[in-house]
Amino acid sequence: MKINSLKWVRVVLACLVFIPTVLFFIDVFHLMPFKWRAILHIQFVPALLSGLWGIVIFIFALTLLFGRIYCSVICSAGVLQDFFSRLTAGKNKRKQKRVLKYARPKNWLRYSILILTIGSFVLGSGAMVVLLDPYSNMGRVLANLVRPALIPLNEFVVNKAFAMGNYAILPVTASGMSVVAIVVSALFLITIAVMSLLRGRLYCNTICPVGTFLGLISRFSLFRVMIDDSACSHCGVCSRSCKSQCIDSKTSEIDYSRCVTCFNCLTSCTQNAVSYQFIGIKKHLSNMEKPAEKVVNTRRRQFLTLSTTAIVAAPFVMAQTKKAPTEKLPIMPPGAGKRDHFNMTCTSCHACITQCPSNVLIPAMFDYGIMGLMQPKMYYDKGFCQPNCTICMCVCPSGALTALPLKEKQIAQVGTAYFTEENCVVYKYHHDCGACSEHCPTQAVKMVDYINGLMIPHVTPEICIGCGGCEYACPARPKAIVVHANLDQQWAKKPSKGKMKEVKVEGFGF
Amino acid sequence: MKRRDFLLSAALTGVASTLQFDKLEAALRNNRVTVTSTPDLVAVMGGEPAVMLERALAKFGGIGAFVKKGQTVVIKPNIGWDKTPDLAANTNPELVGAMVRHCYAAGAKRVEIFDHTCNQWDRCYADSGIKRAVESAGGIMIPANDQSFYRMVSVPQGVKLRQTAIHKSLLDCDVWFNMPILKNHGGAKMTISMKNYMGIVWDREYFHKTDLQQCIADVCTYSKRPALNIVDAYRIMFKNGPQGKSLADTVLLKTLIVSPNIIAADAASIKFFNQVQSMDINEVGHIAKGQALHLGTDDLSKLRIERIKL
Repeated sequence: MKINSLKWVRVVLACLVFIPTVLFFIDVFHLMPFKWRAILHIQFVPALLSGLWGIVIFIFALTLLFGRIYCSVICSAGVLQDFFSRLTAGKNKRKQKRVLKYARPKNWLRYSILILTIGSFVLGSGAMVVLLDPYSNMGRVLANLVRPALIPLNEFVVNKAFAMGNYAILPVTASGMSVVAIVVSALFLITIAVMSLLRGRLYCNTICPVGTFLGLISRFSLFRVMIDDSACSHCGVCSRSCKSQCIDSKTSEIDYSRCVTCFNCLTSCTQNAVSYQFIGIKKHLSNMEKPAEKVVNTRRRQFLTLSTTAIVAAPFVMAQTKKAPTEKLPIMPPGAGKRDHFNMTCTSCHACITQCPSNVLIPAMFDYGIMGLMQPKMYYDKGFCQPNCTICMCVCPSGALTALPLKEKQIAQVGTAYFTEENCVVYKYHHDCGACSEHCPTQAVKMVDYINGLMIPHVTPEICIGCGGCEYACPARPKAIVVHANLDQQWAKKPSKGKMKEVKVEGFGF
Repeated sequence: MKRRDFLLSAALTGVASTLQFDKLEAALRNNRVTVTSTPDLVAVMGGEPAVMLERALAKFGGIGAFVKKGQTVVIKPNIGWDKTPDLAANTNPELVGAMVRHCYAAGAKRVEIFDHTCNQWDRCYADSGIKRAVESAGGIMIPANDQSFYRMVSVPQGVKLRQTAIHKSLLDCDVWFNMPILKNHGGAKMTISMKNYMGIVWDREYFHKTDLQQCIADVCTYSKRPALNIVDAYRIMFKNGPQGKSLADTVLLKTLIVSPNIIAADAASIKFFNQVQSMDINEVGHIAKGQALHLGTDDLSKLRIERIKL
């Protein structure tokens, strides 16, 4: 293989995945066809959580064959870090603004984080997955920081277009944002920016559980970057070009658990000693011995670090109190099913929030508890869940929201309406309103006779689906009708259809 | 001589100030002057929407009596709900399409259609069939889902609604047509021509909060009146309105009621509706309030009505 072209193939492939993924989150001009949401499904953590074993096996196989190519091509956080790296790398890899050099692997840190993430998940908390999954973090950065910044641009373009009589571009309002989401997204962005500007793929090799996990497999990869000992002059140029800081040029060795196969090193070598090749069986076996040595030496340290962090973190993980069902319980989006399942499977990537056309989804703060940080909940300030829409369920890449068919979504009960007569405009001022019942798609909220020919709402919770039409439309403050969450999603009774009326009208009646 | 002149002009002024020019004013604003030979209300029954519209317009002197060459026209149907035409939640798309064709045949430069919908606007426009019918007739669908489309105007004759933001397309056009569908309504009791006005304003919540029936009547006094109120009674919703639950809420009646007089149009429609499901005009509060604001009369015996059966 030609050395130059490999890197550019990697770059092109990375762009092919990165651009649609990013666009999907920030698409304020509605340019992306909805079916391109499929690009989100190739992200590792969502695929794993939603049981898309084909994709999981594909990523395993990819890593086993080619190394951590996932981290350079598919992972959006990885590609973003490469952008940052470029800024400080300088034009010539041999002359850099920052100094990269070989660093020892921080195994105690990355493996304890990986074990903690998996362990806490097994014990019933997805909090670490939510906070550390690179895909979800990128999704949040795009949804909470980038997209809102584009809304003024959309407004500007739309105003100009309307002035010219062109209505092809539609105005977009900011989707639900919460302070916690903005803060966490900003923290992540700053963290990886600083880490990658200074030390390349530091996040990927110290914190990221996906990277660490794939690193366990990539140690055995069949294709790998190799240094030809006989040609190597130990000048260290390749070391300085390695974003993962995994090339020890003194011994001409590469740590394959950290190599993200970015191929930057291939072009840096002055002696053409670095190449990406299939290794023979013999070489494969001999390479395996070295890592084993290291493990033995640091085992005690790892065990101590692991147990200490586990003991320290255990209370944090265990503090996932289940909220008792009250009206303050957050309402899950349709398709969430059981609350435990939703809290465990949702990684708060905010794809659903950016796609909701009715602006009814907002990141929760601590409503779901710590493990549910920033997971979406329904709110009916700016809109209500449209009866014919299934977008959030179709977008969710982790399977936290099951893509129900439309007919099922129309009886999926996320909560039920609750009427407070004292707040109602009809009760207080004795004039007609009916805004709630008007918006009710199942007529669970129906107007019934009140006094003096007035009608007042009456709720039949069994046929209510909790769409929030009534709450959104209610003009009273405080609201006279609100939706109370179900702990787990229920199925509403199908509203009775009734028989067609046989009517014969002969005259006009006037 | 001077004193006599003064007394005479004072008397004339006094008499003149008591005259009401609502009808003339409304007529002048709508491009036509009422000629005694045209009817006050036309009701057609038994045909397809386009045919019935043709016959009704002919009785009023044809579309040319309302639309002049080069004018901008707005048609305001009911597109409030994300429902297909068979569910009778929105105005019949064939009727809307037929009206667009008539306007262009009269030489209109531009025909625009909009409604401030309750469900998601692009779904309503599409699933109601109105977008397709309008665009195939050369009309233009205008969004109404953003505040930037509206402009604040005053409603000086309003009792509880004194100002509101109305859609710019309607404010800037030369002539507009009000094209509701006949339905019952859980809040306002009926939704016909007067209630259809709620789709031209941005802040509907104000209406519900501040005496719905009065605000409906108030907004209808806004100075720019529709040239015609064309009530689609081809397929109506007689219960569970305005959204409806299923086909069982609808009934096919193949009727059209047209009048420049909004109160007459609604009063006649209620009498027609009453044959299917009982509804007394006194229950529909905004009609009486509209009369109190001189919007017209519900006394159909005083009006010239043409009834056509196809």
